[in-house]
Amino acid sequence: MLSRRQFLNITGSASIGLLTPSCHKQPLKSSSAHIVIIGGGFGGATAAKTIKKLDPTIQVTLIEPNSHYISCPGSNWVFADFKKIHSLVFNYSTLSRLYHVNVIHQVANHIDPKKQSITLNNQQEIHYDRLIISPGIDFQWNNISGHNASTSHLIPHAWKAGQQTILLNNQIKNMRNGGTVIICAPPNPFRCPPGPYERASMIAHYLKRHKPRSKILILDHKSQFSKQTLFIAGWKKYYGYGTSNSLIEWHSMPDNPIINIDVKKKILESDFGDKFTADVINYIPPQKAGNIAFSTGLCDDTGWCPVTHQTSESTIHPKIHVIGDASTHSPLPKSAFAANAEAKTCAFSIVNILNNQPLLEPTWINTCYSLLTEDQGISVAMVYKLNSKGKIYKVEGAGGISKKTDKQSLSYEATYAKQWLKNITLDSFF
Amino acid sequence: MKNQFKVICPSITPLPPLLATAIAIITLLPITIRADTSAKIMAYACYTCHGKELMSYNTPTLKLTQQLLAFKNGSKTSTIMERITKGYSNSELQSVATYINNPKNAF
Repeated sequence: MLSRRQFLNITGSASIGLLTPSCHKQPLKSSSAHIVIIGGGFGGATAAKTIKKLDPTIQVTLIEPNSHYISCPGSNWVFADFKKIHSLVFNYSTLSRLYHVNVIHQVANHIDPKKQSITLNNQQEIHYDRLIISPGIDFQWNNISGHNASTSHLIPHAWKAGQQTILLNNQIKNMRNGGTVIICAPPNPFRCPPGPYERASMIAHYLKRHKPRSKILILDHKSQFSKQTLFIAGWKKYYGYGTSNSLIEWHSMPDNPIINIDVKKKILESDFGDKFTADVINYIPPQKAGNIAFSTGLCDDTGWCPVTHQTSESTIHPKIHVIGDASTHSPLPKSAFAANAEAKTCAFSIVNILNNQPLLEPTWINTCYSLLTEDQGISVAMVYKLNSKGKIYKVEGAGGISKKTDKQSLSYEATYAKQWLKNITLDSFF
Repeated sequence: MKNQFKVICPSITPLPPLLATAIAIITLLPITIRADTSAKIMAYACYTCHGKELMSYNTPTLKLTQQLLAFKNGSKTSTIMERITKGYSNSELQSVATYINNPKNAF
């Protein structure tokens, strides 16, 4: 059965075909405009869909190398055994079928900002009127010796969901009872600020039931982390945090970072020479904008792409907009929710620019849920607006971490976390 | 659907001269107080979590506005909606409720 939305889309597009001829009396700028989007994650998919919803006459092309997307949100739940990785896999058929987005599964090799063109791996050249890039993150390997991308099949980062998630999960499942899992949490800014701590919770949830003599050490570049008080309270309640039997230990090492990994012996070494031996290592590298952002010259020396907040247009190359983790929409965090929100305000701006309409007053919302156990959840939220200087700010009095932390409230939040994943996926890809 | 037609065949109505002048002056002035958030952008922010529910939403605008205001002042219990609604003025919450319930804006 068709949902109401699908029905509206089908009838909407059928009507467009019937009505278009009579519209030709009024020449429309947007009717010939071509927006190209590179990257089909939460940012790129949402941008494609939103533009088509706002103005179906605009041509939208989405360039994404993979035929499927695997969601990072929810991928930590795989370690706790209540989420299957295949339930996090989505394709782009709804975007092309219902929204008439032209989806091309190719690698964008080169962008020429002056010619406004993109060259694909198959040498095809594509012209754009506006380009949105949502390339996500890449990793920096220069802070560590002994380990890099070529050994990530041995020491998985699992910070891009899919094969890496499966690798790490298999290592944990094959570990002995009494083993040590080491999670190296990256320095700010990075994708999904509460992610490493939710991951520790989910691995602990598994170990508690199956390998209770084991331990998780989080070796952290930072002196504090997202939702810290809520995580610590949850770890105390469920995983013995602070006791000698704790399943989770958090070691804050901002001045003494891990600088070497012996990938064969699974030994990590810190700057001061402290050594940590593990059975499983999950090294989450420091991060930067995806490669295409660098090769196009869209990054500043922070390694991320500066943009005008209202439109997400690059401050370096006009007519190229950058959204999602690769861009700097600070104080918005690097999250799927923020990527979805940035995609929307970017789509609103581009559609209005192409139609010679004034820009609308924007807002952004971010909510990050994390699970402590299968049925206990916590959250952090914020509402953002634009100030008179065109910068995003956090609205005073709004947002913050979960206020009620009784069992029933955290149970509601766990339910909402799971429902949130379903809904944001629908909103972005379907 | 009507919304989509509007986009395809926009009727370009010239602004009254006084209003046009006023807008020109306002845009030239250094803006310290910004306008209310666009109800449409707010609604799209709601869809991220509530798109599925809003497809078949039939709560009257007045009731929806009251619920949002009750979340904001804490008289209606919530986990997250209090934290979200506190980011918006009462008039912004009323506008988004009106937008969402207008059939021509059907999600």
